[in-house]
Amino acid sequence: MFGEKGYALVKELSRYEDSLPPYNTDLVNEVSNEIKLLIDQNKEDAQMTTDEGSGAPSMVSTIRIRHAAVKRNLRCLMAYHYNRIRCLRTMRWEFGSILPVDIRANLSSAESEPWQLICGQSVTGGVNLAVDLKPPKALYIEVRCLADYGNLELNDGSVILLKKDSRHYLPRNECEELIRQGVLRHIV
Amino acid sequence: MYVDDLKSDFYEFLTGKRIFLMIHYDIDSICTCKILQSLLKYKHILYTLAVVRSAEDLKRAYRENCNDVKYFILINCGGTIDIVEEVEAEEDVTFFILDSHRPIDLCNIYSNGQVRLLSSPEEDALVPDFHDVFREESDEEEEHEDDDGENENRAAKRRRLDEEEIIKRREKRLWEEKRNKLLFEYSQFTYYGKSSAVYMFDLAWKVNRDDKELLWLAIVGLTEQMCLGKIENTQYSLQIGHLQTHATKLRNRTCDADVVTSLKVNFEKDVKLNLYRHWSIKSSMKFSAYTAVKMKLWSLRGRQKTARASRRHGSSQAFRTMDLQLRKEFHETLERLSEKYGLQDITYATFTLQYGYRNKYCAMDIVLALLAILEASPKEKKPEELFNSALDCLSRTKKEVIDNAVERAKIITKTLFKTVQSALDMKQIISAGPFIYYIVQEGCVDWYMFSHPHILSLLAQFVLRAYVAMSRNRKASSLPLILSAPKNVEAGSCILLGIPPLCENSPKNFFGKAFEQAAERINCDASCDFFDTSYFEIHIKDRTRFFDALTALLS
Repeated sequence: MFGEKGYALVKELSRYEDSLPPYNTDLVNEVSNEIKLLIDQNKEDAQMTTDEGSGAPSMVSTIRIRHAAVKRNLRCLMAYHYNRIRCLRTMRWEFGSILPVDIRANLSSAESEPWQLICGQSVTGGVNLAVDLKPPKALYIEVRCLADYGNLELNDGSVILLKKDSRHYLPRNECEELIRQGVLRHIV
Repeated sequence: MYVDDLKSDFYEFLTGKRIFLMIHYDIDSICTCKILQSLLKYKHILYTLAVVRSAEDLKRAYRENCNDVKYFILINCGGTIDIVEEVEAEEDVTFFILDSHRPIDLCNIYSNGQVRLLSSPEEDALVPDFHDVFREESDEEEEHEDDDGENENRAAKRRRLDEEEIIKRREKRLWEEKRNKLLFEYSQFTYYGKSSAVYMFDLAWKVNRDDKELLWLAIVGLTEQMCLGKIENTQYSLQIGHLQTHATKLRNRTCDADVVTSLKVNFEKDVKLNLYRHWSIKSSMKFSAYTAVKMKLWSLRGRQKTARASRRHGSSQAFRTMDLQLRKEFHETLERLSEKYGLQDITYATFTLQYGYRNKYCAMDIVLALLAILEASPKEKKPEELFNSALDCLSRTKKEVIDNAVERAKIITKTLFKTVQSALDMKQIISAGPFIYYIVQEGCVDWYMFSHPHILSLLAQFVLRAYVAMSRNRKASSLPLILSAPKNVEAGSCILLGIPPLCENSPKNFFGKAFEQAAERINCDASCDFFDTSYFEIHIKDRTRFFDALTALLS
């Protein structure tokens, strides 16, 4: 049946909500092959109808159905890729410019290239565009340590021992990552 | 070494340097720490903060961080021990110490810049001269050199040297005797100096960063010293006067006196009733140490008296729901009644903090609430967590923390009263000749509260006052009290606290030395890990022998 593979693609997407499954190259190829096949068949039939005039039975309904299947497949492909991009975008905010290895393995080559490009652009001229959505009130913040993390080296080279339940006053950009990871907590 | 100019030699000196704060686990230190934090924020000085409860904690915190940080600020700890020696500090590490414990160790005072004391030297403390305590070692070296050059005509030289040496030795002996005497006189008493929070607030004022919030912290720090009997009344009055001028100045500057809900720090006369603003007058009168002692509330007659007194003004109704008129007249009514019931000095000068429509806190209420957080929280909470919630309690945004703490403070007040009552009823306060003592038994109500130093000290004062009020012995007011409570049940240790007699009227405490000597006499393994040496920790099984030794020592 037409469109079944596209449907399988979308189903896979809904199975892995909020995470990034490995890029399903086989299925995507199969769907695009199916699209190609359908278009070719449509072309042939259309040719026949115009050539022979009114003799042959009209193929218009067949062409219509095939065309609908093509459209549906296209929609499924679009949905699949769009959702992957969306997932990647949230990951960019969460993990920063360097992805964890297990996630990077799941990317297709077409996905990982723009990733490098975007990450390269967001740090232009020493300004990291991806850090704050709103301008921060203070450059330094007071944080509380929630876990025994060990030594943390700051950008200026000094080392800080992060021990559970100790309090620190640190540059904001240095602790943001750790706050996201749940090692530190911002004290307001 | 004392730092003369805090602004340039401490605050501006630290700009751009990484520092490590060690905060002692008490209310004054927490207030000081909060003031200091806000000062450090202005200069963007990076800091790390740790809580220390004993000398052991201090050493550990130092060891963990000494490689990365070179500037340590110690608040209310470390002044009474030779800090460089204790932590085996490297040459390039600098300690800034702001400690209200006295006496300050002489090595710290005469340190050559490695230890810097932020408090100012006191006039009345007789600090021995440098040359009376420290002596250059050169004398002995000379002797050794002489020994080497003794090859020729040995005999003649020997005779001459002998005489010289004898004189020298004699001098040295005399000097040592004098030194020991001076040292003993200097370290005989332990007591407290000016509140660290007030020092820190003065610094904030000098760098133009003072505001009402910081003033309030200084007030809380000072009130804690008064509340726990750490300083004399005269000292308290002097300091409170000093803070009052600041309060007046800060109020004028902001010109918001007409706004009802603004933050206000008011200088007020208040009555010595614990937490009455958040309780009912009847319960507050019943359980507060002051009224309990004055009216002997543990007896039936006392209870009848207070029932009559509290009937006159209000009732068992919660204070905040009382009629506004009654509430306004409350102080006057109480003062009028005070003569009849012998409560002449029931009022004292203090501050209240007011913000919004509903929140009005007396400094004493906050101190008790903080105490409840620090020392009467569930056991499984770690001191660092409690320290954090104490900091929350001082910030005005977290009302529910304060409310919970006030509730718990009520429980403490009740427990104190009940413990004293049962101690008197069962006649458990025992006279041992030169002192009286009371042992908190393991089974009694809420005994675990008393294993913490501050609540124990509240109990000690209460017990001593109550004992003096009840006792027929005319000498009762000249007897010091020793209190003992179980500290760690598994390890079988108990905590001891000695407080000076009531007639002394001064909180100078001689028990530190006495405890040490008594422990030496009976050869028990005692650990004196507290910064305040009037606390002591021994094994429960040694306690009886320890008391015997103390009796022998003090009589």
